[in-house]
Amino acid sequence: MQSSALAAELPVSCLPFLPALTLIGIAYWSTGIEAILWSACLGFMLDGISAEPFGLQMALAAGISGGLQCVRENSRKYGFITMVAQVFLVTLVWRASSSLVSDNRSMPGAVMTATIVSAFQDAVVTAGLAAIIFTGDRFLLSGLHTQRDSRYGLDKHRRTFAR
Amino acid sequence: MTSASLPAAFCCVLVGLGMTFVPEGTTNALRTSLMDIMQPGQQAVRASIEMLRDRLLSHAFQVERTRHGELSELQMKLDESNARITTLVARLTLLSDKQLADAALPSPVHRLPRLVTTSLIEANILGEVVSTQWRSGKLLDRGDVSGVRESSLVLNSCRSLVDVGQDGGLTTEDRLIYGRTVIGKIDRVGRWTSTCILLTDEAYRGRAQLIHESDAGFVFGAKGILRGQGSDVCSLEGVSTTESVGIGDTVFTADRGGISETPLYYGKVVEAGFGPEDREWKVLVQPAAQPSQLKTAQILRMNVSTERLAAGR
Repeated sequence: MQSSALAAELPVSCLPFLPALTLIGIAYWSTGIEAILWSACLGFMLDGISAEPFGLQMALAAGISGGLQCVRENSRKYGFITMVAQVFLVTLVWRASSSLVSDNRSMPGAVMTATIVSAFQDAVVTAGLAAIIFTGDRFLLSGLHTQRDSRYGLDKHRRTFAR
Repeated sequence: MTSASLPAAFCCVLVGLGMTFVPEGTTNALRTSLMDIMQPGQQAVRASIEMLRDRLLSHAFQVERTRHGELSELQMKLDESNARITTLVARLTLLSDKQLADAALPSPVHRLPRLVTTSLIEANILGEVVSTQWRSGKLLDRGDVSGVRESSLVLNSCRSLVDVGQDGGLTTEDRLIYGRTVIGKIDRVGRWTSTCILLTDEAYRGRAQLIHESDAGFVFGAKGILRGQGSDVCSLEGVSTTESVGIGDTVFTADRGGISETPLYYGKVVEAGFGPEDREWKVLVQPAAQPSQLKTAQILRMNVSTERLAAGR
């Protein structure tokens, strides 16, 4: 899916991992069980088109989404850098985990370093793409930005500080 | 994270991990189903991307084509301008070269007046009676004692007299003409009178040239020496038989070197034949005017420019 969307357009040797961006988007617009279920659906759809073992993407998506919920619950603020860093970490964990599982399942004792490096590359590219999108969101889509603040942190922190 | 989220996430992870152990046949069927479900969306996405790409490329191509067209037009104008400039530069180079060439030559010298010029002076041809009295000194009141007398050369000559001498600025060999016709030349110049040799006199010699009249106009012919014979006709000598001579050809003066631009008329050929040994023509020329019938004439005298003489000092 990501190859059909962005393969020939980006001047990079590796492709961005769009499901990570989708996951971040899901975590941005929904919380709690809603976010978990949507993430699981995303994972399930990815299982249908990926070559990894069926169900792996669903498990990873649900687990990463749960972790994101924990991070967001405990973070005081998240700005542009935080968002980009989240994209980077999500992509790194997701790609590394899926590659390690599938490689070790098909080839026990596969070299781990190459997998990590490949995942790192995907993470960097995906984070870069995310930075571009968030920049557009900040300067062009200011309404969504305001909606995000009111929904995820600003009001809560105000209430916390008010105490 | 809410209290319900954690269990939900845990369940989803377990389901996913559990599906990894599902047989491959079942998973293949599930994959096929999922691919079929996502295919319209994928096609929609692919079509949208292609449409967007085509629009962007076509816009860019149109811009490129317009820009290319503009560039081509500009290039053409530039080429035309370059061609014009090249032509102008070539012309300028030619003009510069010409100016340089002209600059290499000395600038034209201011034209000086002619050193020798000609002028006409009216003269009376003295008749026999007057000439005799003049030569005898009877016309002069003062006589020899006071030194007032004509030159002895003039007095002792028996040739025709004209009433102009040194007082008129005459020199020997000045032509005696009547209009454009030569009738003689000055032989000796006295103080007040001068003797002249008529065209028909045996002593007359003058350079002459034949002029033929043809369909193309007048053509200069052979040159020779016109010699008086003491009769009514003159002879033209020194014309080679290789030259063409015809009866009726006119004879003009030949010497036009810097003195008189136009030739003066002598006469016309009345007889032409081969001479002895067939090496030269024997040409007889009838002069235009008979001096004995004329009473006045003009003398073509040569003058040295006093201005040039003064400048030379």
